Amino acid sequence: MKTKYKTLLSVLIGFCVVLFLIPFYLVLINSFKDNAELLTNILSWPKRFILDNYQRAFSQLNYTKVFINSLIVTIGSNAGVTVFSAMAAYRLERYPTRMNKVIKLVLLSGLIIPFQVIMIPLMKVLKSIHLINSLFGVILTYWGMGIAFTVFLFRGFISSIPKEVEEAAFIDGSSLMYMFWKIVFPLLKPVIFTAVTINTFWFWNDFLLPQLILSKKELQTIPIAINAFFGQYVMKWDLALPALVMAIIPAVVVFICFQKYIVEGMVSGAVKG
Amino acid sequence: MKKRICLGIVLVLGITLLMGCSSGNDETTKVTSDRGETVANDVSDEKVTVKVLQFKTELSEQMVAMAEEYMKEHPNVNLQIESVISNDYDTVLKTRFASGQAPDIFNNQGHSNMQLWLENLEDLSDQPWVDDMLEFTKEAITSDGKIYGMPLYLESYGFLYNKDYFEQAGITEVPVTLTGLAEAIEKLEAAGFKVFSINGAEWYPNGVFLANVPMAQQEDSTAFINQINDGTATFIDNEIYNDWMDMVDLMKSHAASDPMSVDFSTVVSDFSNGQVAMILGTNGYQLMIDEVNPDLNIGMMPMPINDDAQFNDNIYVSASTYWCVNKNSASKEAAKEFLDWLVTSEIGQRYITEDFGFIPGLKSIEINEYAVGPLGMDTLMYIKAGKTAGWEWPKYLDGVTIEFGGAIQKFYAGELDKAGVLENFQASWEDLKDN
Amino acid sequence: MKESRKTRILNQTMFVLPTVILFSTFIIFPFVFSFVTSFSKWNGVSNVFQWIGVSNYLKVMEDEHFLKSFVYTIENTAAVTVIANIIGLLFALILTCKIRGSKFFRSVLILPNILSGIVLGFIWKFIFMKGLPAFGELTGIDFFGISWLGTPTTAFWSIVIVSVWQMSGYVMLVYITGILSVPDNIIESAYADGASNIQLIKHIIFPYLKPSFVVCIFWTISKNLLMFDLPFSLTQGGPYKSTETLAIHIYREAFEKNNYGYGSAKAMVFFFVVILVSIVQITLNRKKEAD
Repeated sequence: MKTKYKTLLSVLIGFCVVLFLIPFYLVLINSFKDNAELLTNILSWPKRFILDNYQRAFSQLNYTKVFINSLIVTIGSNAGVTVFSAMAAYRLERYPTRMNKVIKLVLLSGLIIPFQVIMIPLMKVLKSIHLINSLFGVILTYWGMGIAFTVFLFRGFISSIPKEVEEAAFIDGSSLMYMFWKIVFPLLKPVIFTAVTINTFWFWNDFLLPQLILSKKELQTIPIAINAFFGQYVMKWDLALPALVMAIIPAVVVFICFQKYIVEGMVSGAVKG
Repeated sequence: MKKRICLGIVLVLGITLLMGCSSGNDETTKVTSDRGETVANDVSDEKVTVKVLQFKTELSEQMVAMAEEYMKEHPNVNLQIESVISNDYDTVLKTRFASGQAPDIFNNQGHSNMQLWLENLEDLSDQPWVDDMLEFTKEAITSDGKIYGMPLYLESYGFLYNKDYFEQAGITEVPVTLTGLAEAIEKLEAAGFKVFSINGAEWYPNGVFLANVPMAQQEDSTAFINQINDGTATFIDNEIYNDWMDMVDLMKSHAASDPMSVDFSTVVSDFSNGQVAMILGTNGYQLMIDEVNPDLNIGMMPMPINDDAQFNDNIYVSASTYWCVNKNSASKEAAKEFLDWLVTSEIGQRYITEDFGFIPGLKSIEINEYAVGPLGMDTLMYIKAGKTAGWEWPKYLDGVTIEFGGAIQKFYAGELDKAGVLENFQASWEDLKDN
Repeated sequence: MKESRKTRILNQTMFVLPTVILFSTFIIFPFVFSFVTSFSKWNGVSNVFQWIGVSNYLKVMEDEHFLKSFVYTIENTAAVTVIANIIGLLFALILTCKIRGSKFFRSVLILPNILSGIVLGFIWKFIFMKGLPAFGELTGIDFFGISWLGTPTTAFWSIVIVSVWQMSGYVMLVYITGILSVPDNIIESAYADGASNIQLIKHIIFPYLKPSFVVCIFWTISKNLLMFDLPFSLTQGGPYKSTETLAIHIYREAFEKNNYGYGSAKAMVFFFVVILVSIVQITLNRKKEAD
């Protein structure tokens, strides 16, 4: 590729990146302003950097606790969704019996059911299995809601893996489950990364579901806590913005640290000789 | 490596299960039957738990502080106050009831909202504070002669105006006629001030507050609504509604910027920064205004729609929310005790007037001037003079306020004329009536 | 791979049953509950259900607002899906050429996806209502001072802008994995044969992108059809309900108008229409392939 083109493209992409990041920039600089300055002057660099905002937000959010809660929910949900979807996708793809085909279709239909429609009956279900007001209830619900798309994601990938490797292992006499975990699952690394990435963004930021299930203060997740800064007549931007920054930063940090692995992970399995 | 991944996943799943089980344990000691009835309580502590779900999230910290003081005095009560933002409040409340997590005390707007929840409302007519209720707060929460809620605080709205600007423009008296308003606007503009900042971006203040004016000004709004329902009256030929559109038109013509690009926070900042002289606002705006400019010299005035001074001279006041008790709650006696303490004890009253800055709905509680601010004081003045009209939208059909708001927004955008708005009101009402 | 009956049942159970149980409990059962409620008049609170047969469904057919919501949701979905996929694909193509800093750019462009829900709405409300007009004043470019959320047209495109901003990064990543799956030797031999860049993209890379394409299309369509949080916090479905997605419409019917039964009926109609369209599409595709 000609260097002239490359520089041009670099510049173009660089410009797009800057545009993409402006909202984050705005959130960041405004998180250091007090309410008065915020409401009057948005684009400007803060007159003074008010770290007090962050401190107050931290304590009012009860940040450590909500952070841990969000973390438990995100990790727990990811683990379950990934494991169950991988197993189901594998079986559904490799053994296309009539029943499995039906299951495939039914799972797909989950992609067009709006949450609002099943909200109330879902709460009744959770109540009847005594999982209201527990983090595990939230996690379990995310398992149920996440598998539709994740199975779909896994299925597509699995269908592109040649069967020979598995068949070879089978001749060895190992059980399907053993072979699945030893051979197939590691091959799924790319799609696992893809699924975990997208699901994490969902679980970490989701507001409505945890709000409905969790009423105990000590179980709140980050989005619920942030929402408290928006009242009927009062929007405490000076607390909400630092809170937002604190909510986003972990996800950003994790992503940037692992992005090498994530992208490579997503890409690795795709490069087959 | 693969083994470690497997192990890792199994471990995570296991820990999650353990954590989940331990945090879910609290609920299993309660025996729950359907529709939110809690039959048994935590036997271990002999403590009674009272759960409150309220929607003033801006006061959540103060509420928690108050709960702690209450619990110090009443060590056998576990008082938990949860605040949910008002937009989501109804949904969360319904879901909590549906999922067996019904609170013991919750908020209700009265009128049709009361009817909706009636089977879950405890009759509070025998409570000691009932006689202390301000007369005009009783109607909304009374059904069949029984009182179902406590008016903890009053809210008011009208035009908020900048007193300094009025003075500088030479306006000596607050206008109570439409002509008077037009003259005041002229004087303000002549003195170089921009007059109105109108929130057109959101349907809520328009469909709820603004559209309430003509309804509240009716002789008998309940009768009027009945007439609309049976077809003997319409919005289109009602004189008061037509007059009201004249006022809305006046507002629109003197808006500092296009209402459709102005939302709530812009309205507040415009007013607080002195960029406009008047806005439509509630006494609750005081908190936000104080954040930007605590020294702003402001007041609340009526919203005149015609030239009958006596007709127009009022602001709109109501107990916007009532605190009600869940009829099926096992802790309802403790809940009632708490409510009583809240309005009769010294500590409770201090919280109401100082920390929350409420205008109380009960006669005997003295308002705190500094806490309620100038808007609260003006409200009190109108209440004492008997110059108040009510908040009528809880009597409307469900869902019509958003239609009203939409029609007014179309008016701001120039897509409907004055008559068109009223036609739209009528059509929306009839449409919803058939539901 | 042949299995004995016993192993088959064992394997099916271990692999598929957990998923089936989870899905049934948390999606199917609630959905059926709503389906049943759609034949009743229920306000969401009381213990009383009033059975009214199919009258909810008959009403839906005449409901103008529902139709408008439906049309808007489809239009929005179409716009976002097309634009986000084009932009995502362009980014992916550019960032797989060996440009300086492409790894950095890749990770940065997906950051918008980290924001979602009401947070996203609040931030962009800030931007549209205050940020952009302020920028317009600063630079003197009038365009930025327009009422971004104040008219149905601008509100429509504002929502599209935010959705595209949020989704392109992820779409891009998926396409990147697809592009990188093309074996190097094929690309090299194509260059050796004198293929231009455009020919390379069209004839070599695109076929490899089919799986990525399917994933991205499904994902963007699904997310947009069910969209609730963004329009709700950004425009509250306004101005005058012009950006009221189906999810918001159903929510309002069920929770604000207290017509849970009617709301459920609308949800069912939406669901079945989409299923129908998908079935028709798949059948047509099969016919095309068979030809």
